[in-house]
Parts: sequence; C-alpha cells; structure tokens
Amino acid sequence: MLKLVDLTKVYRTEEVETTALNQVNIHIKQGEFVAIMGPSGCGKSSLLNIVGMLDNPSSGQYWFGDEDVAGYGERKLADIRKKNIGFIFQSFNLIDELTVFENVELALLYHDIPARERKERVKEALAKVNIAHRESHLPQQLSGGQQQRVAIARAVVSRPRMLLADEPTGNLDSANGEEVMNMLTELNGEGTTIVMVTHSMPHAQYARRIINLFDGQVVAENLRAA
Amino acid sequence: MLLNYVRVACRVLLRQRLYTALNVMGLALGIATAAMMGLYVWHETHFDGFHSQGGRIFRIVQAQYVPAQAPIRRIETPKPLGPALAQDLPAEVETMVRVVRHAIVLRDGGTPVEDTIYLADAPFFRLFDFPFLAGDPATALAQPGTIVLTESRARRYFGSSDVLGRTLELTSGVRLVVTGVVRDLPSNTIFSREFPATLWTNVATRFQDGWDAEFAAKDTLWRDEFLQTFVMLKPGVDGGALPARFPALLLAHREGRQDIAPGLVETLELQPLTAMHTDPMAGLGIAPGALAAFIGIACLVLGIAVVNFVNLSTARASLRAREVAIRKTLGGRRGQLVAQFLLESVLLALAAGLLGLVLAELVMPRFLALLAVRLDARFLGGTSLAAAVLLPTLLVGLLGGLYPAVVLSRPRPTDLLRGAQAAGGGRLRAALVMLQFTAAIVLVIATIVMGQQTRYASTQQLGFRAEGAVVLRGLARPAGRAGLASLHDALARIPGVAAVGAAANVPNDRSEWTNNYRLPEAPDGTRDLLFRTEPVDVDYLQALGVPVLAGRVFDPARPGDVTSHAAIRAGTAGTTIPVVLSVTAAARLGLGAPDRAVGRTVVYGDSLPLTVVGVVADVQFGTARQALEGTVYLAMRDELSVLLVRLAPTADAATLAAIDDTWRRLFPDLPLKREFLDEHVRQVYADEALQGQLLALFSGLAILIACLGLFGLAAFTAERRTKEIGIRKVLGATVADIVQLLVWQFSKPVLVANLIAWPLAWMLMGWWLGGYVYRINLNPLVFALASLAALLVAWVTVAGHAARVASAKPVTALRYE
Ligand SMILES: Nc1ncnc2c1ncn2[C@@H]1O[C@H](COP(=O)(O)OP(=O)(O)O)[C@@H](O)[C@H]1O
Ligand SMILES: [Mg+2]
Repeated sequence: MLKLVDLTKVYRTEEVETTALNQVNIHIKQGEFVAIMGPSGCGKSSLLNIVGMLDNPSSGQYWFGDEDVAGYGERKLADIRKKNIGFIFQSFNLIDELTVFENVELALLYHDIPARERKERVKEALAKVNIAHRESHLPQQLSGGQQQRVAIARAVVSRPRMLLADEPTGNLDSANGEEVMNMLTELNGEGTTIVMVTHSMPHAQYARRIINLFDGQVVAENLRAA
Repeated sequence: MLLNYVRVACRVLLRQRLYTALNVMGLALGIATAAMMGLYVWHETHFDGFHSQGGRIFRIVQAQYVPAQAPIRRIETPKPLGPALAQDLPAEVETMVRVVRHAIVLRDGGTPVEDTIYLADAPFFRLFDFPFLAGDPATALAQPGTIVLTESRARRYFGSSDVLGRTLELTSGVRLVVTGVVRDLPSNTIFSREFPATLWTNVATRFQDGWDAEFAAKDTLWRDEFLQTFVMLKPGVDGGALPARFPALLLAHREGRQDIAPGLVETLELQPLTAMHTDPMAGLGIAPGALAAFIGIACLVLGIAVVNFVNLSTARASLRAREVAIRKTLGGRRGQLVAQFLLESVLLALAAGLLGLVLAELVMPRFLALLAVRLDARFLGGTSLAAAVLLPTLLVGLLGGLYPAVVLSRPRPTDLLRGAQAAGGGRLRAALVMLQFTAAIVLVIATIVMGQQTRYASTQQLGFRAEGAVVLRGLARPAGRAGLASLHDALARIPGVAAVGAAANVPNDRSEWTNNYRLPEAPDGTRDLLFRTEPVDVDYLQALGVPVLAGRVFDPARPGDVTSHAAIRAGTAGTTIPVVLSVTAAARLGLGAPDRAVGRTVVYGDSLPLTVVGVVADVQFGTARQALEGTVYLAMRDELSVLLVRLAPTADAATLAAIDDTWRRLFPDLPLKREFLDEHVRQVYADEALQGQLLALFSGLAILIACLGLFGLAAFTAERRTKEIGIRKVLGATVADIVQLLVWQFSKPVLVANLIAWPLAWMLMGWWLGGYVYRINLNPLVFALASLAALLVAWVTVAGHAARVASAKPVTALRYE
C-alpha cells in the first residue's frame, strides 16, 4: 500500500538543523497493523506526519499506491489524504466549540455527502465506539477516554483505508487504553490498515509488526507470529 | 509594585506588536477626530461671551407672526428704531447702538481697492470690549469723520500701527481722522465671522459717494430694514419683561402697517449676545443642526475607535487565560489582576492619546481651512487640545481594560486552564463589529446621496445660460451710475462680446425686492401675491439667455419699455408700463398659458397698472432648497448696478483683458470686480459641497478605523483558531474551505449591519432630502453599492489572514498541542 524509499526529513530553524528522519526505508502492505516504537525525539511523529501527508519529506520517495507523492503540493496531498487516511492523536484534538456529534460530522463535511447520509454515518460511528449517548456534549464535558473514543469515531467515519494513530493511549489510563486498542484491532480486522506510534510494549503487542526507530533510523523490524 | 506592573505591561504591549500598533493607531485616529471636532464645536458655541457688559447687551430681532405660518424673524431693522427704543423706554434702555456696513473705495499703492467700513453709533466700543492699542474707546467714534482701524489694517494702509491722528483719504475725496487702533479681533465674535469688521466710523460720517443723502433720508423710514440695532439695558432690568411692550411701541411709530395680512403681529425680540452665532436666522452663523451633525459624526467616529479598542483588548486578553490561571495558582489576587489589565489598557490609551494629539495638531489647520474658519492660536495651543484629549483617553483606557479585567479575573484557575472561557467574548465582539459597520455604512450612504443631490441641484434647470458670461459689479456709486451707459456701449464693441445687459442683481445675489401684485378684476379682499421684482435694462434678459415662452422681452428700439422709480411713484397718466413675467408669476396670477397672458393688465401695489408684453422661463435665483418664486421684470434705469457680459464662442483671454482695460479706462477710481457667472452660481452650493467633502472624509475615516479593528480581530481569530483549522485540514478541508470559513465569520456581522443601516440611512436621508424642493429620489442601488463596498473592504481586510492560516501545513498547527 505504501513504500518509503531513502526517506529523509530535516528541520531547519534559524540556528540548528535537525535530521528527524535519516534514509528510512519502510514497506507497509494493505491491511497491516504496524506499531512504531522508539525513545522520545527519535522521529516517530515526523514519520507519521509524512505518511499521513501532513508534511513533506526533505528527500527520498514516498510511494502511495503507484504514485510518488513526496513532492506533491498541499492541494494534491489534501485530496489523497481526504479519501484515504484517518488520524488519531494523543491529545485527541477535538474542536472545543463543537459538540461530539458535530466533531464527528466534520470529517464528512468536506466529502460532499448529503446531510441525511452524514447523520446516519455519524450515529453509526458513535454507536460503534459506545459514545452515542453523549452526542450533544461538548468535548470538555467528557473524560479523556471518552474524548479519544470520539476522536476514533471521527477518524473512521469517512471510512479511510488507512488509520494513523500517534500515541493514541498516551493520555489514557490502562483500562481506557485497553479499550482503544481493542477498537483498533477490530477496525484492522475489518480491513483497515493501521499504523500506530506507541511507547507501551503491551499495546505494541496488538500489532502484527513492530518497527523500532532510533535517532531517525530504522534499527529493527519484528514480525510477530500471527 | 506599580513599577513592576508598568514593566510587565510595557513588555506585553511590545511583544504583541501588531495588536498594539493597530490599537494605538485606530484609537489615535478616533481621538484626533473627536478632539478637532470638540475644539471646533467649543469655539463655535462660545461666541461673544467675553464682553464685560455682555449680560446686558441684546440684539434687536424683528419678528412677524402670521397665524398658521412659520414666523419670520430678521436682524435687519429700520434706522429710526434704535432712537425710538431709547426714547420710549428711558427707564430700561441705557444705550443703543446701530451698526451698518458700507463699501468704501480707497487707494492702496495706486490701485483703487474696496473695503468695508462699519458705521456705528458712538457707544459701540463701550458695548463691545475690543482692546484699544491707541485712542480712547469711550470717545473714538463720538464725531463724524473719525475712523478706528484694526492693527493689521493700520499696517496695511499706513505701514505702521502708530497712526493716531493721521488721516485716511477715500477716492471720493473724503478724509477720515484716525481716533483709535484696536487689536485684531478674536476669532470668536460675530464681528470676525458674520460681519467681519476692520474699520469703524461714526454713523453720521459723510462719504460723498452717493450714500449720504440716501442714508440721511432713512432717518424716518420705518419701512427700510437694513441695519442692526443693539441695546444695552440698565443694570437690574429684566430683559424678559420687555417684549410684551414691543407690539404697541411699533404700532405707535408706524401706523398703517397692521393690515398687511390679517392676524399679523409684528414685534421685537431681544437676542442675547452669546446666542447671535448659533441662532439659525437669515442663514448666518452656524446652524444648531450643523453643530449637532458635527458632534454626532465625531461621536460616531470616536465610538467606532473605542469599540475597536475594547474589542481588540478583550480578544487579546482571552488569549492570556492561561497566564491569568497561573498567576492565580501562584497566589495573585483578583484586585491585582484587575489592576494589571487596567494599567495595560490605560497605558495603551495614553499612547493613542498622545499620537492623536500630534495628529490633531498637524491636521487641525487643514481641517479649519477646509471649513474656511479661522480660530485664534490660543484655541489651537497644546494645552486646550491636550485638555480635550486627556479625559476621553483615560475613559477609553479604563473601558477597554474593564471588561477583560473583570471577566478574566473571575473564574477559578482550573476553568481557565481547561479553556472554558473561550466562547464568551466572541458574541459581544461580533455585535460590536456589527455596530461599527452599521455606522460606517450609514455614513457611506449619506456621502453618496448628498453627493448625488448636490450634483443634481447644481445642474438642474437654471432657466438661463450660466456658462460663458461675466459679471461686473460695483456700479452702485454716482461715478458708476453716471458711466454705466458708456461702459455698456464700450464693452459691446469689444470683439468676443456677444451682448451686454445691466440689472440690479444677477441670479444668486440674494436680492430681496418683492412687491404685491394682483389682477385688476380680482374681487376686493383677495390676498395680493408677493413676487420678486427685478429691475433690468432692455438688453439684460437676452444677455442672460432666458428662454422666451410667449410675447417678447424688452426691446432697445422701444423707448416706451423703460420706466423709473419716479414714474412708478407718480402713477400713470394714460400710459401703461410694460412688464415681463416669469411663467410661475403668470400661472399664480391665474393668467393661464403663457401666450394667453400676453397683453393682459396686472396691478402693482395699490393701483399701478402694468401691461404684460412677454412671458419667460423661470430663473432659479437661489438654491434648489427654495421653491421657484414668481418674478416680475421691470425695465428701468434706477437701481442698475451689475453688468452682465455675454461672451461669444470666440472669446478668449484677450477678450477678458479688453473688458478689464475698458473698465479701468472709464473708471480709474472704481475697483474692478469681475467674476464668471457660472462660478458665482456654483457658490450657492459651496456649503453643500463642503458638507459632502467633510462627510466623505469622515466616512472614509470611519471605515478605515473599523477595518483596522477588523484586521486585528482577524489576526486574533486566525491565531486562536489555528488548532481548529489544523484539525479541519487533517479531516480534508481545502485552503478554499478554510478561507471561506473565516471570511464568512466576519461577513456575518457586516451583513447584519446592512440590515440595520438600510432603514436608518433611508430615514435619515429622506429627512435631509426633505429640505430640498428639487431633489433626487433615493435609489436602492446606492444602498446596495454601499453594502457591497463595506463587504468587499471587510473581505480584503480579512482574507489575507485567512489565506495565510489556511495555506499553512496542518502539521504546524497541531504540533503545539
Ligand atoms: N517542526 C519542527 N521544527 C524543528 N524541529 C522539529 C520539528 N518537529 C520535530 N522536530 C525535531 O525532530 C526530532 C524528531 O521529532 P519527533 O518526530 O516529534 O519525535 P518523536 O515523535 O519520536 O518524539 C526532534 O529532535 C524534534 O525536536
Ligand atoms: Mg511524538
């Protein structure tokens, strides 16, 4: 599904140049569940942002399907991203002013889906993550676990082929963390490709493959027996 | 502690540079506007308050009350009125002073120039405190043949201000002895503005220029109202009790006047000195309406600026919720936080006040020049401006700081940290933006409508050809009257001159000669009609280019066309006097269509029959504010004082030079006063044009300030919504989607503002146009245009921010979470 070839990301600020990713080569197939691990600052988020087309690499190739999107501009990336990729963040990133329902619906607003169908799909997604009873609440009125479930609903409501999760359990207690992992596994079982960054070894165990990063480079890839 | 606050405040203000700059600039503009307006209005409402006896001095106003009609009030009074008052009310009136203007001609470096001298009764300078540099105010005007000058006139005519006892010689040969030099008058007296006086003499001074006999004859003429009469009451006299005695006093002196119109009451009123400038009589001084408009517009512009200030302050403060929370957890008390916010806000306002002061100092002279108003330097000095600026500035500063101070310091720190406060101020800000744009849109609509009306009024049917004609004035002296015929002939021979005509007035001269006319067959008891009466010569109507609708105009080949005052007074012996009527006069007399009017007889005054020889189109003598009056043209030699020279299409600069030369050759002692007729006519609309300019200026300012605020708010919103926008982009929003989102957020208040502004402007402009007899219809397109303009300006202001935020990579927005 996607292939990174000699992918490098360099951040330049006024004083320093940080090589966040150094000649990374990774191949992820359709339907895989991949966990990315590594110490803080090793480049996990940078990798995920590029895979998620939120940012461009400095050099190298990024094959998504049969297109090299490495040099694509914002408009083209937005188009591909919209059709294919969903996101889950450590800090949930819900919009404070919108209700739970509206936050989830937002993901469909930019997809030209008629209002009636939007409503059905949002309800369906909320039901799937067991938060339907809170659909008219504002994010601040929910617990962290509940907020993350809303974020997951929002990520999947547009039925993306691939789900990217950056430390989705980082801000949650273990019970809520387990629940989120179960949901991801379920989604993977339905065919969604999942790439997840995590610090937690137990949560990494849900994945089929673990990629270890260190200082911007891939140092090990472990395939877990199914 | 305070020092610490100030330091923190300065740091905060410097860090948020854009916000500080916008805030200071917008408020400074508002403050400068308000300070200038405030100063101007203060000046205009403090006229003639400095005379030490001012409380006892009044100007006499003549008033006519006719049932069911607006009262007529005028400051012109007959010559015998003053002495009659002094004589009939010896217990009440201490002194009376009459004042009248006269144009004199004297030589200034060889060329004859005209100047205006004020004839006044001897006590003038006892009533009015104008400080003397030399001479004795009590006696300076005691004798005829004296003259008092201002310092600058003394310099001009003598090259020195030490001129007591010297003589000023007029071209008529009269010599006036200088008995006083006064300091140049202050700007806040009617003798600087409405009746600019620089020369004074005793009321009995003789000029030997045709004035003396006529003026002396008016000693007993109660009918001729032309000079101003002031009275000083005795100390302790109640001015309020006098008016009740005036109607009887008037009746005693001028019998036979009471039957002019049924129910008419003529009386006098006492106008206090300080009210002279702001009483809207006779179109002099400044109308209270204009003052109110000035104050209103100033408040509007300042209001818009203050709203900006408050808006930007609250917006910025809400970004500092986290800081407030942390201060609170560290033990900061509410009072301290309130003080901190107030201090920041007041500092900012003071900076704006200072900048506003500088702006006002720089712009005030140009502003006054635009108004054609002079203010003494002491009114423009730094201190009075500073005083005008300081108070509003402090108020605005406190107001701007109050809301954030109170709102932000209230909640518990945990709420602030969770970001719960975010939503609150947004609606208030939107409402305030809406108010700003309502005001701005109303101003824009008013500007456009006033512009349209002024253009319409000045280009509408004048009834004559204003272009290509030259007016020569100043012939109302013996030399001028005597040489008028030869000048007429000489001018007519100049190549490039098509025709020459003489008249008493040209259109827009504010001529006021009206008379009663009726049809001979009208039954007794019908009310006479009052028509404007215009003395002209036989060539004038043709030279002016008035279309002839029926019959003929006066003909140089028919000596019988010409009449005179003497002939009119003597009445007719068998012959009738030919007249030309305007079409409105013919219609109001009931003569029907123009060609049916020709040959009919009309009665002038009591019994003088006139024969209508022609009917001409209506001539607009005043502004479009006045309805067309009926006009009767009489051909006569008396009264003629203006020559109208119609230029041929071939006329050029040489033609004008030849006209000037001819004048100088024939009248070496008379000053040449030449102007173009169309320019003269356009002056009627000078006030309107000025108002239009001012309004355009202020609506531009209003929009500019509103946009400064909008710009700041857009920057703030873009920043505050960075995270949200990032999320939206991650979810697939395109740049266009985001720009649309932000632009829409700011379009909403502007759209709502339109809904409020439209009816408001419609009513306001409907009322304003109501003052015109000839007026445009309000065009909805104008409203749409103003709205569209406001919307466009708002978009341009906001779109930059929106595009910048929208096109940023989404990852940058989310990274900081
Ligand atoms: N926008 C940026 N500008 C500059 N440096 C950055 C930026 N984003 C990340 N970095 C740097 O790149 C390195 C990798 O960061 P990141 O991908 O966030 O690591 P991780 O998610 O594994 O903790 C770090 O050293 C970080 O400081
Ligand atoms: Mg990270």
